[in-house]
Amino acid sequence: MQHRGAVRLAGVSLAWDATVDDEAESFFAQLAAMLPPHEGRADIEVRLGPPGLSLPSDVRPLFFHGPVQVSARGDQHWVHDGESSILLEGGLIRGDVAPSSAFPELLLRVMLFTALRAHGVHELHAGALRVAGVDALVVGESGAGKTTFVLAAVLGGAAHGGDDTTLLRREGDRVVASSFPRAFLVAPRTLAAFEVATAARTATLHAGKRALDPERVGGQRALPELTPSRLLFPRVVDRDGSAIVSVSQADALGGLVASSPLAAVRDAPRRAENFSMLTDLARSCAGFEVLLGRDLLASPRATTDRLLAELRAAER
Amino acid sequence: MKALPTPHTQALLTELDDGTGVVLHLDTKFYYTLNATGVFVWKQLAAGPAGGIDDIARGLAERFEVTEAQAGDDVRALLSELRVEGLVVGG
Repeated sequence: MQHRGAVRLAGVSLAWDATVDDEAESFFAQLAAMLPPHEGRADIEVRLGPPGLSLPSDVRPLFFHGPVQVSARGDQHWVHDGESSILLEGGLIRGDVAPSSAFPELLLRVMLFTALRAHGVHELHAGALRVAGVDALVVGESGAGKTTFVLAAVLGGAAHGGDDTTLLRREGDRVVASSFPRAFLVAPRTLAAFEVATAARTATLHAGKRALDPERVGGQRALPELTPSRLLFPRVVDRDGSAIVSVSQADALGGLVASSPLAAVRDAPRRAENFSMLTDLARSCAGFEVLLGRDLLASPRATTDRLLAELRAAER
Repeated sequence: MKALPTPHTQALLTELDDGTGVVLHLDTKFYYTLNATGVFVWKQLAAGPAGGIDDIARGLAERFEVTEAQAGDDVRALLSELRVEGLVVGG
């Protein structure tokens, strides 16, 4: 089916015109549902359709992003995984989706994030929270406990701006964080512990995890933008008690770099700008490691209240 | 006196306000955090070939609460780690 739309994402206008299957429709429908609409010419246009592109043989490999490879050829960027290819050229993303393959959501996301870099917008693997008026990023790689801690904080009364993917950009001397719309992926055991924090759930399962509509977590809409002054690095630990521990600026910057897919990749577009933004965050935010112990799932309400109280009390 | 190694051209130090720092190696994409004394040592290595381990140790003893002998041991241990990680060359 044909799916068209246009939104504003992290200050950049994005339009799409795609012949897609149901799975792809859900990807675009989530963007349309959670982001403000845009009219007129867009900064980035996505056109996905039947095969017609073929990956040139003389592309120069730039970097891997998970299982997909990004390559360059002149002003073109190509992202490919052996089955499908997506081309970015001058703000236009064109997809060549093989009919037999699943919707290449990862390829499209990688290309979208690559295109956003040309507009000074950089991806960070992080959730986001507003706790008692203070904005915090919840930073970490897969499995660190980002979703668990975001759900815990929501249980304790915090507002959230997503659990996994944040887009950073500069506005004046501030670094602004926007959440990228996507479902919370939650392990069943975690979901059971935080049942009260999740007003609704979808039936979809992804790799053993349940997908939650991010607009319904805690019965609140996701915050569209935050200005972080705290960096939280969750880590699941093999001990009973959860705790919050202050970290040095170097550890904070290290954690940010480790969770920024392209900040350390030499040939990534605008790498220096990406790294400088992370450095500014490490310098301007108070950083804390959030040690997630067994008490968090055993008695989520009491543990969350204690952790959030410690966080509020923590001084730089 | 044995020459000191110098930072790899693709290993970039970012110094932070609290004295700590991060070295990012663009070839390996690994990052390394340095405490304030590590940052001091790195900057001495980056400044050039003048002096040796003893000079760095003396500088550390003047700025931090450490004896010159202990500082010398710490510098040797750090240089060894930096070599293993490919963050410094020569020396």
